[in-house]
Amino acid sequence: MGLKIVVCDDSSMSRKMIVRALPSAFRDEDVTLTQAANGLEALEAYHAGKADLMFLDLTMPQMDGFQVLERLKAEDANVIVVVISADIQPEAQRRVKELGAAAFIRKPVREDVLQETLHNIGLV
Amino acid sequence: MAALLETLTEDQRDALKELMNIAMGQAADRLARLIDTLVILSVPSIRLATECAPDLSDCPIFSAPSAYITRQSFLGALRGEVLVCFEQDGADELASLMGFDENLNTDEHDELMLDVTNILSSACIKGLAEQLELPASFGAPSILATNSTLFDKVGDVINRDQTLILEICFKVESHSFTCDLLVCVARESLPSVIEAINRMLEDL
Repeated sequence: MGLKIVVCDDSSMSRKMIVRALPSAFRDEDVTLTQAANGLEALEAYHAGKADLMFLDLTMPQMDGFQVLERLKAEDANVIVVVISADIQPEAQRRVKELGAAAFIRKPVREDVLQETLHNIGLV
Repeated sequence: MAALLETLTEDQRDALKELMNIAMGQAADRLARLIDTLVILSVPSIRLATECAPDLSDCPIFSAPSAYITRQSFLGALRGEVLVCFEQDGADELASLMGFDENLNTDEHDELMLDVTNILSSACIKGLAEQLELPASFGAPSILATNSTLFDKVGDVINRDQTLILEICFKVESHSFTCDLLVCVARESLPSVIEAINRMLEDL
């Protein structure tokens, strides 16, 4: 499959929940998974060529998800971003889409919702 | 019980913060729909109140020149008290954002703050209780303090029998409205809360 995924969330429990909800095809040996605890780490991973797909939280210390999306947009980055957040306000969802996110998923993440989202954006 | 809290592992603290984050996201959504403006959430923090007074001196609200604190109890297997701390100027602005006249009298102003408290605390506690699978119901909100005795009053409430304090700050974008919300979990609820968190962590 050769897919490089970054899971960015300041909560280790949340990162584990996202990884657990991934489709079985994503547990393939060809898939590389990088974990990031804040936006800065996620951007570092992207710049190191470790991100084709990024799962991104919004409310995080140091650099939040909105700031990451702004930076990626400014760089015209070639990465698919799926925001997974507890910040479910309609305005927050509108803004992340405007900043280039491919989809928004509310926390706590559910396996069926994550897999449907990945299907809708053509990744499974 | 203090010993139990002090031995919370990093994973348990992380899980508690994340559950609070999800619950507060629901509360922020309720507030945002009410005022039709984006509400900015802080990263939640956890404080432990042991036998001594909890150190709340770095809560942003305590540096405000004038503040206003409301409280609402929650009862059941998840039990404790929510304190919502508004800056006075922010409370006035919130009234304006909600379309109320600038010249609200004291009773109308109090009623508005209690309504907002009810919206925030019920959404937050409902969100926490559902995730922990612990039942909780609510008492009526009331005004706790409106002047410079805030610190002592809050300390009194928390010291009585609350031991775990989950804190989050709300800001309304482009406006001066800020409020701190403290969820103070009673010590007798802690074993159930920790057990529920352990179950969630074991499932991962």
